[in-house]
Amino acid sequence: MDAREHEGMKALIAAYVLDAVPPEEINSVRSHLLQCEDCMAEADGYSSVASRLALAVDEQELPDGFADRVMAQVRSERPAVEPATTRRGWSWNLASIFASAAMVLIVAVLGVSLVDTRGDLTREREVTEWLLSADGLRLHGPGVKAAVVPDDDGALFVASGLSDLREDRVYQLWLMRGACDAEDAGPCAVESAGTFETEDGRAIVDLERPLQGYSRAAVTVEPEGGSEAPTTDPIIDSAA
Amino acid sequence: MHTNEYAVTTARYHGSPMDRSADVALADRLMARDESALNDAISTYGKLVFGIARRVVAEPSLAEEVAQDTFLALWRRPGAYDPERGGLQAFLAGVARNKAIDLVRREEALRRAKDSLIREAEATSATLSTNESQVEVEDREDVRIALGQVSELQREAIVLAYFGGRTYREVAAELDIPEGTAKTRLRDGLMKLREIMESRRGS
Repeated sequence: MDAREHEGMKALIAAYVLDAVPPEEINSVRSHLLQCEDCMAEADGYSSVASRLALAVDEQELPDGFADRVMAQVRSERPAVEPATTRRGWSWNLASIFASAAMVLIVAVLGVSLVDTRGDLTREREVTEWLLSADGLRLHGPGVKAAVVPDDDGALFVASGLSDLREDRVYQLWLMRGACDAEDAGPCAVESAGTFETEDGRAIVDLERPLQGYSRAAVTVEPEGGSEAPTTDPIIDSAA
Repeated sequence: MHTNEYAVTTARYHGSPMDRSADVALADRLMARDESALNDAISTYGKLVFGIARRVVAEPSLAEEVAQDTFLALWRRPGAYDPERGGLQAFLAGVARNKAIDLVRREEALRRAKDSLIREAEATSATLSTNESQVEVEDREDVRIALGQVSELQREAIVLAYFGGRTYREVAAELDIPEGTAKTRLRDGLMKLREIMESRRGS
């Protein structure tokens, strides 16, 4: 990293924390931020300010019926069956990470929107570690940490330690239902959960579907564009 | 035991300043899927959340949508709020602002015009005592005072970026200043805000 580039990036940290970096420059700021302790510290310093700035507005009377409309929406979303167990432990664990600004970063770096809590920055590493310790399917493979974890209305696939592939190859994630844990154990339905690429061996994929019902997840290397069904052996696999 | 706690909390939500334990109790009730907790959150923070949405989004009905989405997000994912990191007020304010900004980012026409944004921010930062609901007023006054103390040029740049959804390049173009100057104003302004807020907290 040469000094001039560093200075250029550092000058953009404040704009970045304020969401004021144009899309075409965002990636370079993010990747610099991840590698640069100095810039990360500066971003951390601004983040609590940026997150409180919104308090500097005048209150406005709510439109008539506002609360009723919100509550009506809530009632329409009521689950048919109440969850049997409280999710508290999980949720609070989640909270400490979600409220942390690392989310900004992970959302930023990896282009997924996990929560709407920006303006506060810590480390991508923490988030990845948390995600890997959460409920879900853990995928195993040499030197790779990966998991599929529930994320309120869907699920996320998170991995680190993967090799970056050559250009005409992609990773493809497969989710399986049924008796998929052992070979020939019974009927097993395999569906593609999409292809992805890695950046420095890391990947986060928003699966946009709930995890319920899936018993196994695996990743294979496939030709560019992905395959209808796996064509190679899994390199990471929750059943391995 | 829980019932009593909730009763106390509910009482506290109507009017007087509250400490973090009220936020924790409210978060617990949300976590337990108590719909009345969401109602309480709306009566306590609704006007602030709507104020933020109106500050960012020109169209009132879309601002209402932003405010609705903010409370729905709280309902759907109460675990995203972590009392250890701050008050529920600041959390909801941040969510509302992010949702509003996302909207004006997608649709430039929904942005507020530069002049009215700046004028409104000037007026707000000048108002130190408000006749608004007395919820966590101190925290909000701190921010206003801080915003009132940075230079006018820094404030303009920050307001355009933060509430106006402008990139630093757009800030530069609208204020007719070089891009480097826009970056510097944002940076110096944030540094100054931080300094002021920290010294007020320390005092």
